[in-house]
Parts: sequence; structure tokens; C-alpha cells
Amino acid sequence: MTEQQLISGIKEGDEQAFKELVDKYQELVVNVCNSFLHDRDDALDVSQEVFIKVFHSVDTFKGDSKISTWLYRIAVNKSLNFLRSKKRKNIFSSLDLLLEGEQNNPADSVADSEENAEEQISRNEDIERVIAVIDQLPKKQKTAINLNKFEGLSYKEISEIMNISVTETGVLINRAKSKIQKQMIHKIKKI
Amino acid sequence: MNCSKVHKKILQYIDGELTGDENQAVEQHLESCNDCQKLYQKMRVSWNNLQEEKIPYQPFYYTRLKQRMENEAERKTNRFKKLVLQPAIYVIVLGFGIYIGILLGTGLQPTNATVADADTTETEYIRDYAESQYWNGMELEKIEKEFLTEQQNEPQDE
Repeated sequence: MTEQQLISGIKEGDEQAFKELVDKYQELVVNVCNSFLHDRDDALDVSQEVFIKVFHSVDTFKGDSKISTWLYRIAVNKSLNFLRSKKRKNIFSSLDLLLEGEQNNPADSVADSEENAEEQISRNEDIERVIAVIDQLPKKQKTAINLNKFEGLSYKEISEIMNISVTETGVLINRAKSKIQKQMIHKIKKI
Repeated sequence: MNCSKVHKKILQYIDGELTGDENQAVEQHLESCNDCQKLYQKMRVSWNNLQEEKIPYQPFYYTRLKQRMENEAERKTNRFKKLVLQPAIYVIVLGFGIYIGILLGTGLQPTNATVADADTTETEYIRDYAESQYWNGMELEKIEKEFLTEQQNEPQDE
């Protein structure tokens, strides 16, 4: 099926067309989400939200851009929204911890800390370090650098996804790289 | 090119985005400066490692997605039932109860109009009933009257 056939199929409620679209683009969507979330389970979860959104809002897709551009756009927005809500949840959970204080079961804390330690060991420290820096970037810079670095997209493709000019995309990526570079050097020197 | 300038160009150097001259200048500096060479190696590893964490194709992805969509649709229906249908039923039942209560209340204390209606209908009904059910013990029954008439009309043999 061509892109046009896929879209018109989904608009008509053809389940096979939707299945084909999901199978074709699931890797792309999952990995875009993962490039923002850096967590496999979260990425799979949010990517499903992307396809649900696609299914419900397929009528709004006019076909001016490629399906992949549209999917990238939804995936970026969903991932950023997820990060925002996660940040909010983290604030509340840390407040809860503060309020609960000593009520926590010490055995649970030991188990948690062991799990965290194992997790930390298993994860690549280098990747963690760069990701931490990228996560601190402003939203636009983070989107541009993620799509460029993790997805290997060209400036033109990124500009289409973000609805900005190619020059602006270049500026965003250069600024992001400059900040990442500065932070990385700072952290490496500290070690 | 000094260390500070190299530090500012190091990621672009790793990504191969520098112009020919700049690229050559950084290369020359890295060959001569041990600290910058070490820094470059660490940054190159960290930066290039980022591209390794790709999630492969998930074979049961669509099945799970479909299941989730069905669950969400079901949850929406349940939410509709809980938020709209259930309160609506409660309101209707409550309203009906109040209406019945009002009816019972007005039944015990009838208005003037209903009293007048009730009087006329009650009287008419009683009259009709009395007329249909009235039995005069002294009055002859129809069959008795006929019998007597027959007796009077028969010729007397004696």
C-alpha cells in the first residue's frame, strides 16, 4: 500500500491499513520516543499513545507532508508532554517521601537501593552523562538535537517536523551542541 | 589553535562538520596536546555511544496496541455510565419519588375542585349502584307477576 492508500484506508476504518501503518512505523516512533525518554518501557508506552492519536485524528491529516513527518511531530509532542507530567509526578512523589519520612519500611529501601545500584552499574555511564546534559536543554534545542543525533535526520527533515526554517534548525543544533560540549568537558574534567 | 578553541570545536570535529582548515588545525593540536587528546577520546566515546541504544522491531506490538485501544474504549463507556448515565438515573428516580410524594400529599388534602369532582362522581356512582342493586322485598318479582297473570287468565273449571 502507498502512503495515500494507507491514510485513506484508515480514514475509512480499514483495520488492515492501520495495522500496516503501525508495523511499518513502529520502530521509528518507538525510537523517537526513546530518544527523549531514555527508558524502553516508557518509550513503548508513549509510542502506543502516538498511534492511538494517529488513529483518532487521521481525518486532520491533509497529506501535505509525509506520514513519517507527521508521526515524528506527534511522537515529539507526546514525549515532551510525558516528560512534563513525569517531572510533576516526581515533585509530588518527593513531597510524599518528605511527608512520610520514617514511615517507610527499611527493608523496602534496601531492596530499592540494591535495585538502583544494579541498574546504575548496568547502564553505560558515558551515555548517562550525555543524556543528563541533553535533558537540561531548552525544549526546541532538545528536540532538534535528539532528532539529529538519535534519529540521524537532516536539518531539512527536522525543520519540516518542527515547522521552522532550515537556518533556524542549524542554529538550534549548534547552540545545543555548544552547551552539551561545555557541560561534557566540565563533567569529564571533574572525574 | 589553543586548547580553549579546540574545546569549543570538539563536537563539530567529532561529527565531521568543520571546514577543511579548521579540521586540520584541530587535528594538529590534538596530536601535540596530550590533555586535549584524552578529552577528545572520552568525548568521542560518550557522543558516539548515544546512537547505540535502538529498540528493535517488537513482534506483538500491534496486538498490545489493539488491546489498549479496546480497554480505553471500554473505560470511556464505563466513565460515561458512571458520570452521566448513573446520575441521570438517580435524578429521574428521585424526581419520580418526589412526584409520587406530592401526589400522595395532595390525595390526603384534596383541593376544592377535586372535592367537587369527587362528590358528583361519588353520588352518581352510588345512585347507579343503588338503582341496580335495590331490592324491594314487598314488590313482586317479574316471574311472580307472570305466574299470577297466567293464573288469572286460566278458565276456572270448578
